[in-house]
Amino acid sequence: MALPANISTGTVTGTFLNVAGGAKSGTVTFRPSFDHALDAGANVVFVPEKVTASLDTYGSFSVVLAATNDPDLLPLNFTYTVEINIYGSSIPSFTMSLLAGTTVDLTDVMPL
Amino acid sequence: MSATLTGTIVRSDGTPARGKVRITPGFTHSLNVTTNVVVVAETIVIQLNALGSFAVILQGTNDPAYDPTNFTYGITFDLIGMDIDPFSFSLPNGSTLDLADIAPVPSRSGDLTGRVYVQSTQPTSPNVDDIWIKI
Repeated sequence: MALPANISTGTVTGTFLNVAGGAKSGTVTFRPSFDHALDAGANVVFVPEKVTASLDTYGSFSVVLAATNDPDLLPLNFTYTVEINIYGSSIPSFTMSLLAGTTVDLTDVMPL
Repeated sequence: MSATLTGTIVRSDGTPARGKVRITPGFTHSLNVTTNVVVVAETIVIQLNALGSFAVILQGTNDPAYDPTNFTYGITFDLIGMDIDPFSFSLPNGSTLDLADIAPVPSRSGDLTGRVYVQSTQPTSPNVDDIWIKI
């Protein structure tokens, strides 16, 4: 089922390789920071279920998520916790915002 | 930008070593914001061929396109009947380095029971535990 029409979205992309240039397999999960969120305009309650994106054969993914700054979705300005589940990786989880209408690559928001 | 690491490991009697070489980058992950690539710290495992040789292309350790820059690789050896201590090395962009260029030669008073020869010719009068890294 698609997001309600009144909810703005953003896109997160990413590509994972190893030092030999090999494409990695695995998943990236996004967990919203709210217990629940309300879209009164569409009469929808959002639950904080994780969204999981799988890497393709190039080690890449792209996922469309509800924007974290949409005034139609309360609480406003929540964040996503990003978990990297890739063999050979020990990248710690981190949080990110996703502004409406933007495309954010993980290299722009992932801490070193 | 990448670089190449090569190596040939043979016993002192000239027979090729058998086993694997493992190379691990010294970062948790690195980021290239230009190409939007995350490089994970996966250990690269390389099987020696029938001649005891290997060649692998790796990310250069001083590539300014990646953050962090100037990391090092750690290398360990999983060889049948042979022990070579692990060590760290840099691999500058565009270079081709051979193990014989970067492997430290241990002191004879160390824990190794044999000696490590880094040279093109077969050692004379080697002991059974000696290792010859052929240039």
